[in-house]
Amino acid sequence: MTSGYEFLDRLRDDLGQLPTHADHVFRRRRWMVVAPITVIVVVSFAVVAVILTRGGSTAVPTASAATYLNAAADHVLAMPATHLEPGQFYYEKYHGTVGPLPGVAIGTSEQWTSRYGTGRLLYDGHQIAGFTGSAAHPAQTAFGSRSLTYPQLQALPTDPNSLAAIIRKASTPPGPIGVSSAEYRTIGQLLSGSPWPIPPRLRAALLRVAATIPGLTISKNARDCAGRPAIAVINQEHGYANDEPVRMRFELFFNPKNDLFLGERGTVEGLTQPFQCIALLDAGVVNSSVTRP
Amino acid sequence: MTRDQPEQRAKAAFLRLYDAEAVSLLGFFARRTFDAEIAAELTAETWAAAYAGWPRFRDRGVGAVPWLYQIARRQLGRYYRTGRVQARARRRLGLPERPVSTADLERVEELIDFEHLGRAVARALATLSPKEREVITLRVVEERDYSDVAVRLRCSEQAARARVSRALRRLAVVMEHEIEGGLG
Repeated sequence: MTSGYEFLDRLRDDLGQLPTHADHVFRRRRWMVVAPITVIVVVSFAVVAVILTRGGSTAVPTASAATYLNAAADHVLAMPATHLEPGQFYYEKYHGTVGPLPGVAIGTSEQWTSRYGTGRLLYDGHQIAGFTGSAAHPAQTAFGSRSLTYPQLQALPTDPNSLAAIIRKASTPPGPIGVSSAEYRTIGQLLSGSPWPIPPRLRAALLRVAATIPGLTISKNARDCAGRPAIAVINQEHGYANDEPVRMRFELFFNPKNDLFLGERGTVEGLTQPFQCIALLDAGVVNSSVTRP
Repeated sequence: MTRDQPEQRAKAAFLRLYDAEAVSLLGFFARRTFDAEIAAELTAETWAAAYAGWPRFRDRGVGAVPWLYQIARRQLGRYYRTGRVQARARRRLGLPERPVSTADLERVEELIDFEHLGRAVARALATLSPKEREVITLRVVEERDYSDVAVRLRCSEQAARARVSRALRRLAVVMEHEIEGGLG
């Protein structure tokens, strides 16, 4: 397939011939530092990270984080389910930043999504035509390496063990981070990214699965990306920023009053601005794609 | 399953995004810079930055396109501020420098919908200084080549290029709001 522009086709070839991201990082480090030592250090680092986050004997879930998540799951179960009937739309308003570079502002988005994946998206008040779900290209929600439709979301098991197995399978560690870190991100991805209401039993199961992830910590005096008081459940990760190995911090935020999910944030240690920050501002079922709750 | 497969899948997904969006992104830059060469440079740098950031991209249910254009806007903002296109991402990836052919540049210029932009350009031109309007008139309206523009401005060809570039950049900044509202 050609673009019709010679230089674009050449650029595609150049990008296609680059080593995969993991290989690329290793190659640069070989070039920059002493090769054998670097490889040994990186591999050892990854192995240790996997052991620590994968349930090795030295790492266990921080008791208060796990206790909090299980308690939040209990509260969620007591909440009424939100039903999305045919002809209705689920409205979500969120604000934040997402991007590979610190400080990439995304602004405020409003999204209306029907159970069939049709709807519309406003970005800072402007309709984003190309991103609107249609009958031919219905919206889906990302779930690790999978994309879920509304029926698939509804069909996810609510038994934490069964759900954990699915989350594990869908979670591809991006680079040398532990598998559990990838699972934590997958859970956050669904909680903050789903364009449909998540059934309380499923939401509770997601929190119970998160509670089993080793190494989580909790901060009860945090602020979310909208500056709201929040409880943060934090996972420290080893990742990459601008192709350099860094320590990263991935947080899920909850409302301290009712344990409702508020959003998520990803930061790189040493940088003040997050590389990812989502604050859910409003949500509810509406009867058309132009009305708000 | 080999250890490398997830990385390969990620790369394949990135190239699918490239196939779907490469020309649109080029048009995005062309309509905002009015300069085919700059648009091509910004396009290449944006894709390099996107490639470097791809492992950290997370789909929020709307695909990667908004994310890609956020990178593009950042590159465009830098260009507006500095008048230069960074090559940092390309250098870091080790991407070779590839000259853009004249035929390609002519085709990029076709992406700039001058008819649609006509009124907006007229309004924006009114905000420029007389000297800036003069260089844009010579180069863009009268389509004179740089050597001719240099003679008219009584300066070197290199200086003429710089003055045209500065004036176009000013014009682009003034027009950014109009373009955002009109062309997307």
